[in-house]
Amino acid sequence: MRFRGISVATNTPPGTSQRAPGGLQASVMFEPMIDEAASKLNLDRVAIRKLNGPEGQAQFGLVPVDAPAGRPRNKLTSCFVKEALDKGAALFNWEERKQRSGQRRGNKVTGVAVATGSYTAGSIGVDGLCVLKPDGKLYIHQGIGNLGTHSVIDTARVIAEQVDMPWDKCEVIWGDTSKGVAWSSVQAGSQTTYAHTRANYAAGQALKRTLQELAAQDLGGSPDDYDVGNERVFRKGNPGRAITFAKAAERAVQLGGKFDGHELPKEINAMTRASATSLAGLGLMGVARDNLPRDGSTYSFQAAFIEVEVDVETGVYRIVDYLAVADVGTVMNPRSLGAQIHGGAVQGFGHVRSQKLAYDPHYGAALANRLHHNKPPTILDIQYETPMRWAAVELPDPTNPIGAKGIGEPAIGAGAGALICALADAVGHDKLRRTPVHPEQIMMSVAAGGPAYETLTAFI
Amino acid sequence: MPAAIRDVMPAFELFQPTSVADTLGLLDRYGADAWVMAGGLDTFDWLKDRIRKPRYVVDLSSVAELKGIKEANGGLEIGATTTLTEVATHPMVKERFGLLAEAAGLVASPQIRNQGTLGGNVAQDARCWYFRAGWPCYRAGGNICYADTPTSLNREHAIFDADRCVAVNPSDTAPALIALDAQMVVHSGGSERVVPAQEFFVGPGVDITNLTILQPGDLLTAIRIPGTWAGKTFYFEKVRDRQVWDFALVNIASAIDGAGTISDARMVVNGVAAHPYRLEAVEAFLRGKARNQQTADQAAELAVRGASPLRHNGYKVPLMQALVKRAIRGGDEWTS
Repeated sequence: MRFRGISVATNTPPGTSQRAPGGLQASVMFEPMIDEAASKLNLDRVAIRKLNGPEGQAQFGLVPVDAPAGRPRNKLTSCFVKEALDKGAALFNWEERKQRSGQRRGNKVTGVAVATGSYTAGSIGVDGLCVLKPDGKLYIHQGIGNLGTHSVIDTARVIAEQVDMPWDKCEVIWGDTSKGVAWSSVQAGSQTTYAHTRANYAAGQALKRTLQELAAQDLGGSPDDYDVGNERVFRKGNPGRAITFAKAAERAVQLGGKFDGHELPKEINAMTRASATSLAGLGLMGVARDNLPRDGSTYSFQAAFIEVEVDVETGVYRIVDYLAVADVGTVMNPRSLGAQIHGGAVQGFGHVRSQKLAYDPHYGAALANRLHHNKPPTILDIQYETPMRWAAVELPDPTNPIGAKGIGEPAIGAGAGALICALADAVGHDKLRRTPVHPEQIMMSVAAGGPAYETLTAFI
Repeated sequence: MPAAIRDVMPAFELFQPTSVADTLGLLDRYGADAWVMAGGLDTFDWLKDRIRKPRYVVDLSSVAELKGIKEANGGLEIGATTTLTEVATHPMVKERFGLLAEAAGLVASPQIRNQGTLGGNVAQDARCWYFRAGWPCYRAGGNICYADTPTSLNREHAIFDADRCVAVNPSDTAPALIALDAQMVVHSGGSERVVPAQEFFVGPGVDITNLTILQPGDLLTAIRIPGTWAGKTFYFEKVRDRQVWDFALVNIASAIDGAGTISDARMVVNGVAAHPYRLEAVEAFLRGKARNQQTADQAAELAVRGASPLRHNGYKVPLMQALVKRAIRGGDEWTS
């Protein structure tokens, strides 16, 4: 066969992986196996996960080619999944709840389960950029956008904290490269929070250092003699000897050079250089690349607890209760974190319950051409007696200046794994061998006493 | 296969008549070139996929006469373009014909029920994904069924009355209307026909390209529900993959008269044939029987006689049996 491909620009987005590729599948495949092992070993399902879970700077994966001598494998920067399991078990009342496994009331059978999920949660090497202007305001230029998570705003606060700048005097500039934004991470792989708190920490430190240097030049002494606070850079031990931020910005423009962005650090990324050049001369600039040390790879973890009710006569099931505990380091924005934990879980539920891409196996043509064929979960699929709950371990990652790690994708595998384990808990581990778990798989398998459907190579 | 152009509708001339008389005039003038549009939920998929390219679209949304619910002859008359939300929430429907209110309330999603109409729900076309994607199948006027081959994806297809085509009727309200002995009021030119709901729907053996008797020039104007079944014992259940915005894998609508002993019953299942599948043998069996587990079990056996599943939809047989049992015993009060 000879064929030629031609790329054509259309008004439809290209197909690509959904959130948590790999992590989701791992949870859905391995979590039920862990439960089967627990059953055969007569171990509690939380206990077996704590026995086998990683902790701290656990080593994992293959030996990286650039590994430092004496360290054979990659390692995590932090892992508190055991703490998440403990906290979740306490909040969910696991010891009592697990007694409900398999209890039947009429046609309804209860399933109770625990599962974990993990995913990459941070990258390094991106830039932070900000300008303190003569109007006394700090303009923080963010290359990331707003996917609804607020991280574009939350990570900007790190700069404000470095120079003790009141938040209402800060403006976050984003969403338009013509406004001059810093080189950023892609907003995927749950890396934004970690990457941009580091980058903005570096930029905040650069801003503070430049303020100190400016004060030393104008007021004498060395930069280390100065500190910042109260919108001023002041002499330590003599706060009266100070320059306001507004004045410092004005002075930076007069001095030029490194003070107002006419001279830039060598290591910043090319796009940041272009942005900083376009902003030069507008005020006192803080710009830096995240060159902070990191030994290892950063992952976030989650422990999820769930109760489901399965109607074995029709195979229809619903989630009665859900609780997830996240190991995401320092919590930056509790409301947004809760939304991520729950939203990711719902997406995971959708993969287990209904979501699919169907192709005719003979013709190869896509048949699930509309959303109602693809069947993602909707908000009305999430009607529980008790609202979904979440908590966080709140132990900081040591390689991030504020202790934060990413969130988003770790929540998906945890939700999906918990749901599939709970269905198996209700009707038996031998009966579920594929997702999505359609009602008829449960109904037919319960009636037959074992898997009552063919092994498939594709969604139907 | 049609060109893969999506989401840009072909050009058509749009008419927005304000009376039934004007509507009928337009349908009479343009015949098979006219497309009748109610809520647009069925229409826009066809048009955006450019699979149907009508020259004239007649939008019913401005015809006030077609909207609303009123009492008539001891029952109700529901205008064809009354929204599903209104049907589901109307006090008279809820109080007297809760079966229909429940069925309407389980259609699709709240947004679709706000826009979709009762007439549109019963007159919508088959949802077979080969047919809807524009494959040249029997139902589309061709000479093959892509859903009935050894490799087809036919989990949602028919187990009864297939005749070349294996598509099913997707409506939730249709079985409820048949169970309530509803009548469909159809206008054509200057004449009016009143057709029992059961006869409004047709299988492929009768007309392989239409799910209903509606022909070019016809307009479904109203649905009449007689008082016969008002306040009787109803049961509606819809089994679907998601709890919202999903067509039924199988649904059931039943009306039972008689407290301890069943004096009369209606039982209709959808999602199993190209027309709502009325279980007349079960209804006959139930007359004079006590409502108990034994009756339910026997009725369930009777219900699925003649079922002929495809590769991926064999589950519809036991699922239908489960729903028949539940309808007779009235849900979860006692279990098998």
